[in-house]
Amino acid sequence: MSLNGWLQIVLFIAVVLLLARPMGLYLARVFERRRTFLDPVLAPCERLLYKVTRIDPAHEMRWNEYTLAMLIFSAATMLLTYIIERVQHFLPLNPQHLPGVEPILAFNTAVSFTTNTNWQSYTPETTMSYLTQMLGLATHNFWSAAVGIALAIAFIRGISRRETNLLGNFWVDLTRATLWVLLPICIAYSVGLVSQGVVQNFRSYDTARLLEPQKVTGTDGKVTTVTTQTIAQGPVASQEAIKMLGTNGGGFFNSNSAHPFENPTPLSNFLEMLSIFLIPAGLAITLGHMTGSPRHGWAVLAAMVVLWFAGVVTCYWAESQANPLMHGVDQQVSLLQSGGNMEGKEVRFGIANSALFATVTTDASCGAVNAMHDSFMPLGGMVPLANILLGEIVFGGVGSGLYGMLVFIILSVFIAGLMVGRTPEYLGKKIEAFDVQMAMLYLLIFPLIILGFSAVAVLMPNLGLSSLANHGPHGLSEILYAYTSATGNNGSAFAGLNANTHWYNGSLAVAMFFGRFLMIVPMLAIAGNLARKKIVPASAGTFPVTTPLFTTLLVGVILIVGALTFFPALSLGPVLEHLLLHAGHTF
Amino acid sequence: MVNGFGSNGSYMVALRRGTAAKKEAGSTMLDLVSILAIAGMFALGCLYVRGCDCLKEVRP
Repeated sequence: MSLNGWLQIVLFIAVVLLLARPMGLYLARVFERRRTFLDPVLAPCERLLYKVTRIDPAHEMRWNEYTLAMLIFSAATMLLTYIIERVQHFLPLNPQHLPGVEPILAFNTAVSFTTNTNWQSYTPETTMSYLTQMLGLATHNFWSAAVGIALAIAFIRGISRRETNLLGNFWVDLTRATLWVLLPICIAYSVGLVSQGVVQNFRSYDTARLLEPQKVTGTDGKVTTVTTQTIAQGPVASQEAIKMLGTNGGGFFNSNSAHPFENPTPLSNFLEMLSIFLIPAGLAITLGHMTGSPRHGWAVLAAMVVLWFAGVVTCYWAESQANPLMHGVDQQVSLLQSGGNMEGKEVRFGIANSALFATVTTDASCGAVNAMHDSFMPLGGMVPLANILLGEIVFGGVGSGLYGMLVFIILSVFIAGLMVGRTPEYLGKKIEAFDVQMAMLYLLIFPLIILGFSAVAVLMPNLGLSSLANHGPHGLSEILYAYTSATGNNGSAFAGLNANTHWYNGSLAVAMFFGRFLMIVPMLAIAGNLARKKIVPASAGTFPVTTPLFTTLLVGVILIVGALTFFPALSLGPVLEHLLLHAGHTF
Repeated sequence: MVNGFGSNGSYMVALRRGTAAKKEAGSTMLDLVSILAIAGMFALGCLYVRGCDCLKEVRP
C-alpha cells in the first residue's frame, strides 16, 4: 500500500460526498415536479411524449398497478432487444457483417440488460453489431436505470405519504428519470470521455501490422501465426457514459473498462468510478429530503460509506501482498512499479485504482471492471464477491441500492423495536407483520437463488463443471460468483468460466430475472402498505434513525445477515483458497 | 463484464477472423422457447404481484 494510493482513495470518496447533496436535492426537485433549469427544454418534450403515448401524468397508481406497469414495460423492451439481436444481420450499422445472435445467448442477453445486470456471455466486438449495441443494449442501460430510480422514488413516497394508497405514476417517473437525470448527464459525460480518448464512430474495424508476429493456439487447437491485429471501433463513448452512470456495466469491448478505448486515462478512470456512485449517493440524500429528515439520509449514506471503506481496505491490502508462490519476482512497491499482485491488472491503473474500482463496481450493481477479478488474491477476490452477497446495498445500483437498503432499514428498526419491547416505527410509520413478512421474503429470495443454482451447478459435471477452467476452491468461487453476480444484478464476472453454454445462459437468465423482479414486488408491497399508514408522532420510546447508533445497528444487521447466510460458502471458496495458497497450493 | 475471455491468442484470432459468434442457427423452435420463456417469466411475475396483494388482504 502506498500514500499515493490512499490519497487517491480519499480524494474519490471526498468528491462523492461533495456531489451527493446537490445530486440528491436535484433528484428530489425532479420527482416532486418542481421547476428545474432544464424545464424550458425538457418540459415540452415530456408533454409531447405523454400526448403521443396517451399517458395522463396526473393519474397516480397503487403499488400493484405501479408494479404491473413496470413489468409490462420490462417485458416489452426485453422482447424488443431479443428480436434486434436475432435479426441484426438484416439491419443496418453492421460493418463487420456479424451474424444474428444465437437464440439462447440472445435470451440471456435480453434478460441481462433488462434487469440492469449486463452479464455478457459473449465477446461484444465479435458478436453485436453497432445497431444492436446502440438500440438493443445502450437504450436498455437508460431504461433499466430509469426503472430503478422510479422504484426507489416510489418507495420513498410510500414512506413520506400518509393515508393514501398511491405511489405516483410509473410512466411519469420513468420519463423524468430519463429526460431530467440520465440523458443530460450522459451527453456531457460522453463528450468528456471523448476528450480523454474514448472512441465514438461507425467505422469498420482497423487492421494494424504487428511488429513481432505471434504464434498463437486457436480455440480449435490449431497453431496460427498472427501477423496483423484487428482494432475494434464503434460508438463507444455514448455507451460508456450510461454504462457507468446507470450502474449497468456491460462493456462495448470484451475487456470492459480495462480496454484503452473504454477507459484510456487515470482521469477517465476516476470519472467512471465517480459516476457509478453519483446517483446512488444522491438518492440517499433524496430519501432524507423527501421524508423530511435530511439527517436520516446522511445516516444511511454513512452506513454505505462504512461498508465501502471496509471493502476497499481489505481489497487494497490483499492485492498489495506479494504472491508467495511467485519466487524470484520483485513484488515490492517502488517508484518504478506498483508492487503486489499485478496479475490481471492494467499497469495504467496499478493496485490502488484496481482495488478501488473492483470495490466500487461491486458495491454498486455496476459490474464494469478495469482489472480481472479472477486474478485477484483469494481474499482480494472475496471482497467483490462479498459486496454483491450483501445484497448490492452499499450505494448499490441506481435506485435498487436504495430500496434494498430500505428493506434492511425496516429489518433494523424491527430488531431495535424487539429489543426495547415496543412496536417498531420508521419515520413515524408503524412497522407491522405484513411489512416484516415482505422484508423477509425480499431477503430470502436472494440467497435461495444464489445457493440453489450454485449447488445444482457443482453437482452436475456435464452442466456446471464442464465449462469450468479451474478446479478446487477457486472453481467453486467462479461458479458462486457467476450466480451471485447474476442474482445481484451486478454483471461482473470472475471469469475462468465459459458461461456461453445452454445451461449457464439459461440458468443465469432465470437467476437475473428472479433476482430483479421477484425482489421488486415485495419491496413495492411494503411501500404501498407504508403509504396507507398514519404518521405516529415521535415519543421518548421511538428509535431515532438519524444517529450514529442507528448507522451502527444498520451496518451490524447487514453484516450479520450477510455473514450468517453466506459464510459457509465463502469459507469453502476464497477463504480455503487463501489458506491453501500459503500452504503452497494453487488452482 | 465478459465471460469466456480465453487466452489473448484465441481472442486475437477470433477478432482477426471477424467473428467468434457461432453461425446463425436459424432455429425457430429455440426462438419460440425463448419468447415463451420471456412471456412465462413475466406471467409468473404478475401472479406473484397478485399473491403478495392477497397476503395483505387476508392478514388478521
